[in-house]
Amino acid sequence: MKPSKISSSKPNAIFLKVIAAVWLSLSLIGFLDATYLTIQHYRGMFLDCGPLMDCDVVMTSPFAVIGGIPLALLGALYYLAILILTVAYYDRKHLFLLSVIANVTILGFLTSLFLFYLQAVVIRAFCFYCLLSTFCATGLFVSAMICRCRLKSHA
Amino acid sequence: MSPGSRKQDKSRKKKPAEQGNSNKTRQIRSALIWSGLVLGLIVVVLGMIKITGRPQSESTRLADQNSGVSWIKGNKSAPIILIEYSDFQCPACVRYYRITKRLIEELGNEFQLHFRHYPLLITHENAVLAAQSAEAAGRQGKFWEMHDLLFEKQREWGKKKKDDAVSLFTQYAVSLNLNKQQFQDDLHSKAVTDKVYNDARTARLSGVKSTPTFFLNGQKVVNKPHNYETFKNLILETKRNLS
Repeated sequence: MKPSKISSSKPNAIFLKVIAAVWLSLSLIGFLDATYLTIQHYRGMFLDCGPLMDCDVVMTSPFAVIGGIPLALLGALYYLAILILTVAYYDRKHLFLLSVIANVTILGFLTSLFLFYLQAVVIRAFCFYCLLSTFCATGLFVSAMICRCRLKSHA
Repeated sequence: MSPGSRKQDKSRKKKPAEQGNSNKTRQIRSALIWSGLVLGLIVVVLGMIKITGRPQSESTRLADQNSGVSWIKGNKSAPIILIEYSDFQCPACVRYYRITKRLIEELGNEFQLHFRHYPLLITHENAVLAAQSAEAAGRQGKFWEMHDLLFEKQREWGKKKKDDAVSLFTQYAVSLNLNKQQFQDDLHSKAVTDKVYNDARTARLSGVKSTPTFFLNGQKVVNKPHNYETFKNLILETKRNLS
């Protein structure tokens, strides 16, 4: 399939630039956040995130690791994938990449929702770094859905 | 040839050259973007590893001799305070458990031993649960009994999966005549986990990097005594210096 390129209409071009900038920022923040958690996990360090949060409790809970792989590492790979896809879009301007990013953010958002539920209901403790990741995943998802609707209406 | 057709011919010749140039520019731009991304990510990740690798405190002094809540053995009014940060799953801690136990038996009137948790999360998968088990037993008045049992039976539970380790800890609790239901409720309670994590927090603030780490009257014991005799001499020397 030959990849399609973006429409040359000005509002679309500006809008897509803004969306790509949002994705770059959120995926970079999410990547740094998840990478920090991964490093701390492999160092075996306790996480201190102030008196209002219980990062230690969340990060040492059985839900922090799946099949021996820390969730933080999976999160870092997720944000890295979004970052690479967004940079690929900047480079190639293929609309197809936007659609891939939009689909991937659905997966990230649903995972984040589930992890938020685990923190709130099952573990009953919150971790600042996990909440920051939830914020990034939600931001990516919302902007991706806005982008999808906008492109559809312009199609 | 008319001047108009000459102009057209010129522009036809120019087009492939322009296209080649724009392709080249695009390729250079792509190379710059991707190499910038890869380099940037490498620098950021290495930077984070370096920054987070710095110990939070280089201090050799205990951050909070008074605010920490420890389990205490020995003479509670003795001026010599030995604080131990330990991990129930650490093999070296078993060795020092035997040394401190003997020290308490023979020199228990001269000093007080404070026990605090510093479970190493990665290398010791069951260490946090073991610490929580000791704390849960402590809520029924048998911290030290569980403490001893966990060290004595470290080989039995150390390599088990988490669920099996919890079953063993529950068996130990029952063998110590603890209320099984209360033990299981306390094991994951907020009060118990908070206690373990608070100990770990004070360890970090005091620059603890390994277990066991000892603080004698607030000062980190940098060269850990390797056997009972040298540890005993260290305490007696501290006593002499105080008097």
